[in-house]
Amino acid sequence: MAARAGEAWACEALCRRHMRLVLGLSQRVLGGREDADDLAQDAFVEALQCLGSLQNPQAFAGWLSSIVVRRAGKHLRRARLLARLGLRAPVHIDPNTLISSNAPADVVQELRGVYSILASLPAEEQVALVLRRVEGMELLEIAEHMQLSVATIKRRLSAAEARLERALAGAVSR
Amino acid sequence: MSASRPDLSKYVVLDDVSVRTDRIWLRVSDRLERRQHSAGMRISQLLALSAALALAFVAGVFLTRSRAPSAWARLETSGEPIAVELRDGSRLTLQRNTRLDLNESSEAKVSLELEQGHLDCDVSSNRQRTFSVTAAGFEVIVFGTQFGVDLSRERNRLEVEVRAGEVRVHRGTQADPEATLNAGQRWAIDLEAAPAPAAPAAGAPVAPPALPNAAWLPAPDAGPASAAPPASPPVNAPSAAPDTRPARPALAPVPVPERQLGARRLLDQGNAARRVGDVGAATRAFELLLSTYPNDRRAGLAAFELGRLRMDRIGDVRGAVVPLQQAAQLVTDPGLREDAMARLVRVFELLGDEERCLEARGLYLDAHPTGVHVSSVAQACGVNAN
Repeated sequence: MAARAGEAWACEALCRRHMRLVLGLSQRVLGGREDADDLAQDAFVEALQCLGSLQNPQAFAGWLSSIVVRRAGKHLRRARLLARLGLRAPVHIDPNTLISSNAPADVVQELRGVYSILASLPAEEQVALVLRRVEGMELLEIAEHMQLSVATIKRRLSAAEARLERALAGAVSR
Repeated sequence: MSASRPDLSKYVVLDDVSVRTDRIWLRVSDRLERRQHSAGMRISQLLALSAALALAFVAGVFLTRSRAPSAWARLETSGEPIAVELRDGSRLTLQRNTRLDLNESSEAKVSLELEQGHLDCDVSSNRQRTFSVTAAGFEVIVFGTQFGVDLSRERNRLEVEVRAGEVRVHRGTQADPEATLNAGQRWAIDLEAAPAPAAPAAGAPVAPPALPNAAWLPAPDAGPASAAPPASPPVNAPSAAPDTRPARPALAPVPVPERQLGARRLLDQGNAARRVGDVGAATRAFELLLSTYPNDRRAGLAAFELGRLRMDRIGDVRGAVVPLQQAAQLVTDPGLREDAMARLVRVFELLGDEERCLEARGLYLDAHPTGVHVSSVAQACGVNAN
């Protein structure tokens, strides 16, 4: 694999081929475009530096997604700390800019609910909720990506989904 | 709770991917390069440490010699290159058989004099400090950039190559720059044929002498000849448009013998031009590679890049068909082949060629049922995958 040998053209080709995957996942997990670009950048740097540790090159996409997910949690915690210290603007997620205009009504409602509460969730709950509700991942997949136990993921999701249910119920009653 | 849920990700908007991809890749490659450089620095620090003791001795010796009375340190390499970091964060790499005098290194000024060999500089940006390299009576002044200076005593030739930022080359103490170079440009002069640099008398401005052997050249990593300043006429073409740069009438672009370049060099040139946004130069390099070296193993990659440029940058969707078809056949990397096949689907969809779109779609889905582009390809050609 030429990218493993550090050949620039191969690294670039690899990045470009997986950019949509990484950018999309980053943007959906974080809910913001600028932060997503930063996260994608960090993920590619880590991936290209650790390419030698990837046992099966065919598994690159999944491995890269795991890097994005792991880094997303760190990214969120750092962004929130900086916001608390007044060093950056608080994270604000606008669901209207994220949801496609051709999404069916029930999907719009669900996505709007998810993205309206994301910023209020702890970092791990935010990531787990997006992987579950938006990416449609199974619990095992989420646990593997986040490198947490299934039990922990269940607890995180349970808390996040309870909050989501309340938000959705509130939206319906309004 | 363990059952899988519907995937809603396709309903979350992801826009400007092409533009964002370019920007992100530039940052990623820059970060990787810096890390490689710093890793190299750690190794070279050991070399530099051992060299430092020798340098201290050498500097002491040279300080006592009248030939370089202002030099307070001399760096000299023989077999191995060394890298050193100055106090202001600028990094110098001396290639083999290089001699460099460090005349001054303060907060206000860094002054180096290249006696011989090749010096690469990565200058930290600092408007409060001037950074200059003198070589053979010419002075290269920069503010924050990456460039190389090569002074070959064997060939009696001085070359300056800029990789990032801008530098000005001054002859002696003349105020007007002899040349202003931007990223990707190289300037060279044959010292034997050039008049010796001399300081003009005070109050008597002297017109810069003609430099018949000075030339703008594309840097090895930049695009082909078009990357050189376009306004200058060829040396032997008086009927060509006049040079718009009055102070440099003899500086002229030198046509690059592209057909002698080789496939690898052409691919590098095309990629370098593409990275700096010179779509025309990049396209020409890839086209030339394809026509000159159709059987080279890089031809597939060149075809893919050509198709991508025509599709994304030039808007020539029809012109992208052939190179993408070539790419799908020629590339050896399965991932790139998959990308080329997915792009072909998109191209035929954009062209409204439903029959070929469906054909390309079927070929992709058969070959890559779990590929990274499945979701977009499956919905192409007016087929609703839902």
